[in-house]
Amino acid sequence: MKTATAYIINTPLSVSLYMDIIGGGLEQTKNADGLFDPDRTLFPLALRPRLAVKDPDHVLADGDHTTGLIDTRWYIGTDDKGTRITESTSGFSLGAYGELTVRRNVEPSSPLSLYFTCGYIDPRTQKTIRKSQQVTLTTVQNVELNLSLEIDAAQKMAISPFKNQALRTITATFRNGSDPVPDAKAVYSWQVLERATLTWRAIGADDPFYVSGQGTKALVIDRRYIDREAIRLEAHHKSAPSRVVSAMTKAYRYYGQWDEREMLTRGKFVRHDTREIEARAVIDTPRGQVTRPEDYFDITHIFTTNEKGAPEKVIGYGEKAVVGAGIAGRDPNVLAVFGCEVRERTALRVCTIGGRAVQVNGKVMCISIPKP
Amino acid sequence: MSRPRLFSVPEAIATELNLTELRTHDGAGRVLLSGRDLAIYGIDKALDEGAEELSPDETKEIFHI
Repeated sequence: MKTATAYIINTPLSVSLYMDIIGGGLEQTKNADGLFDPDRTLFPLALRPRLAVKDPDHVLADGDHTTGLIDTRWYIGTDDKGTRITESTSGFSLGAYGELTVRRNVEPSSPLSLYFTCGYIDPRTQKTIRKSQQVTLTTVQNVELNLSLEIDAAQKMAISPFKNQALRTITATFRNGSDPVPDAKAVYSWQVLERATLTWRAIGADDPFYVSGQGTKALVIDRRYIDREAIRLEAHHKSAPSRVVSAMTKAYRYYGQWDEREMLTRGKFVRHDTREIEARAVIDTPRGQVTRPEDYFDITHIFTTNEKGAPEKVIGYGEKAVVGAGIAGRDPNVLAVFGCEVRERTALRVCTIGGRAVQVNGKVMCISIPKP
Repeated sequence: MSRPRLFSVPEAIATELNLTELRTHDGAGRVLLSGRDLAIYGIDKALDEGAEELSPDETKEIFHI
């Protein structure tokens, strides 16, 4: 028997894969407070594949054939070499016909690429047609900043040497609009003016007045080490490192008003049995007498007489000086005169030899000297 | 600073936006939508139809999130 074979020729289908985006867009924003809009953990996004088929031979109905999708897979990445998304992948859930629900926020610095691949069996030929598509989720950092910075120190901050508390905390208030900037979002840098070069540099452990707080909003300084320092705080929001705001204070050692006087607390009237004369320096301030004045002042006690050209003789240092009564002599016409010279002292300064700090038992040696 | 806006809307609005399956429900006929969800629908129109803007704390309380 002679045979003849009939071949069925099908014109290739026109198959298009679309990705419908439900419940949002591929782009989010993140504001300066770190809030996402929309927050996909609350408002998830659905990626819904849609397959459109057009049969030039009109054997198949033209239109949506999404229900014919098979072997649908999603990957994190730009191709099927990425991590496949399964039901256990955090932040995603899979639905029918390849629908993917995204409950994950995307950081601005890390766009998220998702790759979808699926198959469709041509009902005319039973051949599988594969289609794929990639989408990328991105986030734009939304910078809305109206930054202001204040510190709880006056522009000129007088530091009294008489204060009992050596430590002073300078605290900053950093705001964006009226809202305080959370510490986790703020970057602080405390600086001091290098007077020799008139440049600002970061305050560090080498600065004798520094106690703690660099990199935070509260700087703790030790007043005893401050003569005159310009201290500045620079701050910026982590989302906008170039938007730097600053606040400054000039801290200086200030004794305020004071006056000294010399008192003879013993031997003011020298009799034959008087053995000693005690001279004491008293420092008066508007708030009263300074106790332990030698802690703050350099005091020199001087003796002389009322005679013309009589020499001045240093008889002691510190709050009081005790001398033998004989210093006054026996001539009732020659008056013994006691006086004191009082000078303010500088803050504690690092003692250096040849430009290098002197250390004693591993600690930097500091010295306070009379002011010129 | 602008914060993402949150709305409690009647379920009919969420249905019209085809978002009922994707959004959180309070169990009493209202759905939590974002400002972006409502942008297409019109926020003023939604407010006229019974939508209410919520604070983050109110959202947590009403929708238990």
